[in-house]
Amino acid sequence: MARDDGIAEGGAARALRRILLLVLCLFLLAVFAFWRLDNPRVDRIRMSVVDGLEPVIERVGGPLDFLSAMVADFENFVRVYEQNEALRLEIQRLRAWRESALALEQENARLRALNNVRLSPSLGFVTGEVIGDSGGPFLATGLINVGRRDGVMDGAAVMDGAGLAGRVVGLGRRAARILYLTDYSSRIPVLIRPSGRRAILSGDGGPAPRLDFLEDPDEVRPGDRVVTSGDGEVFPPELSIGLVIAGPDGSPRTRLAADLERLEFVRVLRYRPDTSIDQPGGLIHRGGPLDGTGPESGPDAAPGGGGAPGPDARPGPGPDARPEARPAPPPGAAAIPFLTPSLTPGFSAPATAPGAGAGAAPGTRP
Amino acid sequence: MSGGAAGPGAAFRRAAEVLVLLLGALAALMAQLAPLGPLPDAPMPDLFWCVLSFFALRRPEATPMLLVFALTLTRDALLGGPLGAGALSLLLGTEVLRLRARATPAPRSLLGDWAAAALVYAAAVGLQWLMMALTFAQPPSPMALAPHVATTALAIPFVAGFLRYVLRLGASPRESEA
Repeated sequence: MARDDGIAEGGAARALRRILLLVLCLFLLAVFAFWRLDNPRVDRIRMSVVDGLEPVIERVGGPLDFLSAMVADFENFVRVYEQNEALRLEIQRLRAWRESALALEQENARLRALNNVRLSPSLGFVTGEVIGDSGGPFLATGLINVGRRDGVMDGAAVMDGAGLAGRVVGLGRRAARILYLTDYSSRIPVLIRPSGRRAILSGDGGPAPRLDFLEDPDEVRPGDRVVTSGDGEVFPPELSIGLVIAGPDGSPRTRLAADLERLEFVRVLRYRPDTSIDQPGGLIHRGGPLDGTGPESGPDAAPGGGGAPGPDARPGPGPDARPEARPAPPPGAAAIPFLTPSLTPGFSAPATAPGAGAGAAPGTRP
Repeated sequence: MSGGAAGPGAAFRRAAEVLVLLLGALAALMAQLAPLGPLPDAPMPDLFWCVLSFFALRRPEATPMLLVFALTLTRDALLGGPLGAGALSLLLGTEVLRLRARATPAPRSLLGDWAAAALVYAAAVGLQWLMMALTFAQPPSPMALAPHVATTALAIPFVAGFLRYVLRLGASPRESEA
């Protein structure tokens, strides 16, 4: 029997409905538990859904973007006088900065010429458009229309023109999800300039993230610059984040340089940290001339003659730089082929991976 | 209209309403995804819930549980929230509203339906917060959630009015018979 509203009233149908509800609830609980336990794998599945719907999101987002821009334009029109005054002041301030920047640029060029500095070739970026926001209270995330096919890597730093905006936390083929610095779960190791103090930038949902675990808070003053420290080798060091300000309770916070309210285009950095030398064994190939334990060890044995590298062997500069393919170096110099390109003066290195080098793919720059 | 005497016309109408729910919920999701930045001036209301609650209260027969399940899971995947927790809380919320629709005789007061949809949404958000807190995730402070719940509660009558008077959906049974 059915009621006017069409909901089945029969005992069997009701029981079936309850069982179905129970099964679905248990399934969703399992999905949640799996998300908490194995976040990256679930995020990959989630990003495949986003990938599938990305063209629809982009098409629907166009008109909504237009409406949003219209509202923003109207707000700007209403505040045009106030903005004009602010811009005049800003221009005055920037003129002074321009002079300083020119002087610093000249000094920098002179110093580089003196030192024959080679910049790391492993930093590039790809520009993407923000096509979606989380729109919910639990996460501050966004979707961009570049993904794995564009060389975006999981964890990559995301910047707008002025500073760091967040990092990639979900990666699909054609889209990626950004976790903004303001998100509750965002934690970034930072450095305060000029004092050089370290801290953790912690998002709390507000526009100005907190500076937690700050070394020597007395040394830090409002107006100091906050940059990435590069600890953990997720982000490159010295990326601009913002300025220190005092929060309402006096605690140090950061006014972000990135304008998160008006993000349209962002740069996703493609950063591969240089190989760090943190243990001497990493430089020496097992079975090489300095390793007395190898079966072919001895003064006449070629480096790498012991066969495949052991588990501790570090990756070399690239496929063309395998130790087996090189002539035997003199004893004591076996470590040189294993040095990374940036550590070897004048070494012309191939890219460490497809798309990793400067200008390796369309839309990238060194 | 009686379910037992429902003919092909009623079945077609119901299928059309299910399709409207599907398209309406997806359109609400796309609107929520609009890139307004993580710090907009006012919190974004949950338009998806506004559509879902309207159908659960006014057209429960056109709100199949499996469709709600699929839609809420897609919502979690697209919006990036706690996967599974949002779907679970909204699925349970929809079932609570369906119980109300079954238990309360028509015509129901508009104010009562509005209050029920808003309260159930607040409870659903609370459940998500609790699940995150219990699993040591980083939930926002409850005070940060309040504006979002309030704007959603305010948006419910607007979305319901659009669906009822523009799309001509969800007239109460007595009204449809007239």
